[in-house]
Amino acid sequence: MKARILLLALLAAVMTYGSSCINEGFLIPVNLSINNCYLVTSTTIGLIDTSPKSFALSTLIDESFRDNIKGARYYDIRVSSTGNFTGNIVGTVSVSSPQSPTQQVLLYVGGGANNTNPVPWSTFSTPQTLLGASPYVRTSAAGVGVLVAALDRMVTDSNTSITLYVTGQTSGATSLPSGLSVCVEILGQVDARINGGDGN
Amino acid sequence: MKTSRLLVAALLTNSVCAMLALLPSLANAQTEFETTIYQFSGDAVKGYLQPAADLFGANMFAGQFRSAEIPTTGFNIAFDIVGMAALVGDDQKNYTATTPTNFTPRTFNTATIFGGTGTTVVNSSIPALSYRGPDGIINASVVPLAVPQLRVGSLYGTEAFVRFVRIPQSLTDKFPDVTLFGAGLRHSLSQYFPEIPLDVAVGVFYTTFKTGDLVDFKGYSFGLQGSKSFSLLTVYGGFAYESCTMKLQYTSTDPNVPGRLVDVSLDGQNTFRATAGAALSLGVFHIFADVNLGNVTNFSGGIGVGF
Repeated sequence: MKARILLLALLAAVMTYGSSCINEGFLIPVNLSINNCYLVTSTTIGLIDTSPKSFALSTLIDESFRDNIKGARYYDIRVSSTGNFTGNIVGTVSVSSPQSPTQQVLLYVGGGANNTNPVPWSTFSTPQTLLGASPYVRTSAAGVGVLVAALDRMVTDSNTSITLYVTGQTSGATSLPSGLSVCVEILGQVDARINGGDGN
Repeated sequence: MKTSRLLVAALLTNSVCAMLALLPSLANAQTEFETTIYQFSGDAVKGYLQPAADLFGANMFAGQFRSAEIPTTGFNIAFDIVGMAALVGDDQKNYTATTPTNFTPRTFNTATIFGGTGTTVVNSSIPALSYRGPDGIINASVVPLAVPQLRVGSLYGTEAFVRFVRIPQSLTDKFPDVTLFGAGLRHSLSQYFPEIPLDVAVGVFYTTFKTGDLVDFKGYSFGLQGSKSFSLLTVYGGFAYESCTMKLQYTSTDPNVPGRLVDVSLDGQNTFRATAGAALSLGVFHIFADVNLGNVTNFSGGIGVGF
């Protein structure tokens, strides 16, 4: 009889354990990479033209996480160039969203105290990053605000999006070779809730 | 008897639960668990899952014997259900994780798979930049495991034992095939030294656990075992050296991982164990329990039938 009681107690303990071994509603930061290489379509030295690129943010993470987003953040922005060009460049990366349709400068790309002076194109053959404390990139509060707001909106709106623009000016050479690109990558994390939970 | 069957079923179910939690690829190829692991770089996954390798590894070697008495000849067979439980220490709930390249600080303390809420760390140079570690997945003070074990002997004082669990994907639509296998040999030393007042044996054991292409666990142990029987009661103990490795291979979704390919091996922390336990024999029925002390403390016990 005692053995039976002991077994029943063990059974209850084991079954209770089994129902609670996985945390309810735990958060996993899912890597988010917003990136695009903008082809320079201009053929002459001066203003450069690129096509804006829109990103539906939730499509950048695994489908299984899209309806369970509880937070988002970014932790780096990287700018790099592809293609050989002996001249210089200065420019900006701008951002907009459906909620903030006016383009706001997210990143100044260039040299000098305000990052508005032309620097050699080859400077960006190695990615210049915020985390690397690059002197050639600097964020603007207005653009960061648009970016952060869009990331925050992922919690309530799985269709939220942003559009990134690259504009700039080349100098220091007589001609602009074809095939040049400016690549922008925003690295972030999206907190996905796993295994149910109360939604907090 | 019905209660005993229910207990065994519950233990086995919890083993699956624990293995599912510890070894994320048990969930099907598209589940969040597997995708969770894919977020990690090699360094990060090592710290996050190391306690799982330690505790799961310690469990895999427990419960190999409940007596050192091995008949020299004759047919002997026993079937045991062995349950194991490894204690989750406080130091296994957090680890020092690495932040992305050039992030300041370079490391931060955050939850392991057994921890609580993940830590968010703010870049000290640019406070707008932050990075977060994942929450723990398992809320448990012990990690359980249960396996069936068949023991057959004896030939020249030697017996063999095997463990085998296969959970086919068809059993549930959530889990892919999982296979746990273990095999060992034990040989009586006391047959050569009849004057020794207790039974002594040596044993060697090899075990594997495989699920999908993500996790491949292998380990072996060898040890010295002793026991002394007093009527229905047998007191037993032993020492063993053990080694295990949990190998993880996957393509990371972390953009900071060069080549995205992660191939890491986690060595179980436990390399030596001292075992002490007792078994009660009631005819062909047996019940036993023991404690295993080493870098990881765990307990094993079970019920069996055999002669």
